[in-house]
Amino acid sequence: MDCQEALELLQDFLKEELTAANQARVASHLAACRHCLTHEQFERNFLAALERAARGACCPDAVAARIRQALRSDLPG
Amino acid sequence: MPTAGPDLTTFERDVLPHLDLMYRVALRMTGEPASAEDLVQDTVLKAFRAWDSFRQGTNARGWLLTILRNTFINDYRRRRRAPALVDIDVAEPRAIIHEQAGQDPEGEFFHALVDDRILAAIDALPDEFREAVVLSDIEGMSYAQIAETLEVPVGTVKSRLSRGRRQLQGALMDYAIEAGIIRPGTAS
Repeated sequence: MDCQEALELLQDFLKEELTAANQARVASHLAACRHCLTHEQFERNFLAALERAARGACCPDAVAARIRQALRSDLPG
Repeated sequence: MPTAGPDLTTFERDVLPHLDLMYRVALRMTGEPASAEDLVQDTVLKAFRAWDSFRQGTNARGWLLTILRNTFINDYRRRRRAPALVDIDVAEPRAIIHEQAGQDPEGEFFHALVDDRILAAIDALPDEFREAVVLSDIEGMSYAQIAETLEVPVGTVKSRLSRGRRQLQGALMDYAIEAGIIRPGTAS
């Protein structure tokens, strides 16, 4: 695998959406290529920051309670 | 006593565990908490009325997100607070954005950005890119699940994700440079 192919597959690699064979091919390219490994770390840091920033939000309890209430008044009869 | 109509017990058991997910997605779609709360409630009530049409044993999460998304498009999109960025030309090679990181080619600076700044950048993406990025990179859904939820082919999901991430990286990098968190590289 050359760098161009590795970088083209990088996004799918990070999401583990490649076939097992291609996951392994990209992994072994990254193990041997500092240039592509740097790209991989850049993308990983980016994705980790997105997840960290947005993942913590929860539906407030008051909203959940309001929804349960609304469901009950929505019941027929 | 149970009467005719949807079974509330089963519905709540299968749907309420997804409230946090729905709320996070709604928050990113609407851009602010009050609308997100209303959007989640509208979605749950619509889902309840349509519960008989939901095939038990299939993926409730995807089904709920599809309802949420359709409700957003029909009833909320006009009211969106954050102005969407125009879809700038993002056809340039990934390497250009990457090399602009200069002193920080591994992107450590992403961790120095405050969450609010990252969220604002997500919220400024065009709808189609934002929803793909939120479902994939925040909620961890697979391409196939996202394709089903958004009712588009997997190839479209990949293309929207790729462009959305690129725009987001560009916006965050611009901010990091402006804020002095990184210095642009000399690569040209």
